[in-house]
Amino acid sequence: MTVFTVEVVPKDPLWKIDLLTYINGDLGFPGVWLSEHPHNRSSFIIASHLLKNIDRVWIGLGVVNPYTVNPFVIAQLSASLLEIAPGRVRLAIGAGDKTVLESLGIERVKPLEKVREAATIIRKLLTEKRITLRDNIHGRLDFNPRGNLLLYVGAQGPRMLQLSGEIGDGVLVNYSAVEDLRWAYGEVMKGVEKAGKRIEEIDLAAYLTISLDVDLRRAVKTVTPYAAYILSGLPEKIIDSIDIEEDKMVKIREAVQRADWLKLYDLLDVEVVERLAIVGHPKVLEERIREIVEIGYTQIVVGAPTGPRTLWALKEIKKIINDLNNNRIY
Amino acid sequence: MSIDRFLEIIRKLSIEDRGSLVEELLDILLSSVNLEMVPDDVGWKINKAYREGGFSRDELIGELVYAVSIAEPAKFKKILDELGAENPR
Repeated sequence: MTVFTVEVVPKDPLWKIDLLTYINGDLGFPGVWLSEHPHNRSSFIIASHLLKNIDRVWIGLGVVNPYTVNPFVIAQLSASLLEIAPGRVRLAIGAGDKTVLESLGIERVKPLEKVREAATIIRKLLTEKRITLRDNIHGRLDFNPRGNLLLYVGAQGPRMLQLSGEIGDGVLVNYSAVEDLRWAYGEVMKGVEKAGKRIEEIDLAAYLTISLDVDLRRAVKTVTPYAAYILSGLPEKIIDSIDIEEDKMVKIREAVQRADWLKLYDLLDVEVVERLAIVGHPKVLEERIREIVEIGYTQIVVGAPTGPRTLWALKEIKKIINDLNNNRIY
Repeated sequence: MSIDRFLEIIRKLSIEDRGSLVEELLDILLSSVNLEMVPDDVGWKINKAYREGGFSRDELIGELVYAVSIAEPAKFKKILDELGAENPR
């Protein structure tokens, strides 16, 4: 059974995030992922509000990186959220965006080791309330975490995908193209096998970037900044498979850094945007979901921006899910 | 033109048309990238109205109209033109 959830980006005022989350619950989505980015509102603080005020959805935080938030603090925050809403909190950790971290003066050193260690710290503190690491580094919680926390790993590169399969209760894979998702599935499987687990034991989530509208031009315009952001952080293996010149990539990265959206509209061709996001008529999404479910993904995250008309797009997506459900494709 | 005048025009619409207009206004607002311009207290009134099914009350539709006119003036003008009205504030 594939579960459909929605991403809400905490870049807007709280009254809107709250309302959008409420509407998603109204539409029957069981969970909402709050994306984490240092330029936006804190996903932990927003999650605290949402968990207290909306009881029909679980809230996932992701992807939180152990460079900007110390893993001991991630565990403390997560345990505090579990007290507000036992069993309704999920957490995704990952290496974070290299360029953004550098802009904050943080060097992304040994990301695989860092994420593995963070997962160990968070799990141990939430289950045993104390942990001692090397060199006298130790931490504890002087209160009891309520309920379990499902720990996901957000991954794009091959080695992080393998690690996610190895250590995660779930994986967030931030691709939208079928070929990329199929490749990522294979990499996750390697980690699953290494850990001696079965793929059925983990929740494999396709975190899609979606912009639906009957007018393709409008849909592309809305999603272009998101596509550019994704493009600028892709692993080389995926970039190589996209037909884009090196000097253009440099300009795109610079424009993303400056948040120069007008420049990005010039730099990104429609074909590139369509490679990185699901764009256009709802039928495009319906077909894509069928293929993704067939690969073996167990969760589909309806990722931002969803479209130039948010409410319309969410309702269309819900219709698609209902149709697929009636036809029992998953 | 005041919000009151705009609401007078809305009152003349059928219940279905009125509901469609409220939904269209809400969709424009929730899709806007300019929500920092909307006062928080107005946003929370709209939030509460949706949750409590309160958009049948004129003053709450007025808050929605006001918020859309601030966040998306061009889209709002298009709606006004379609209704045959002028700018509300």
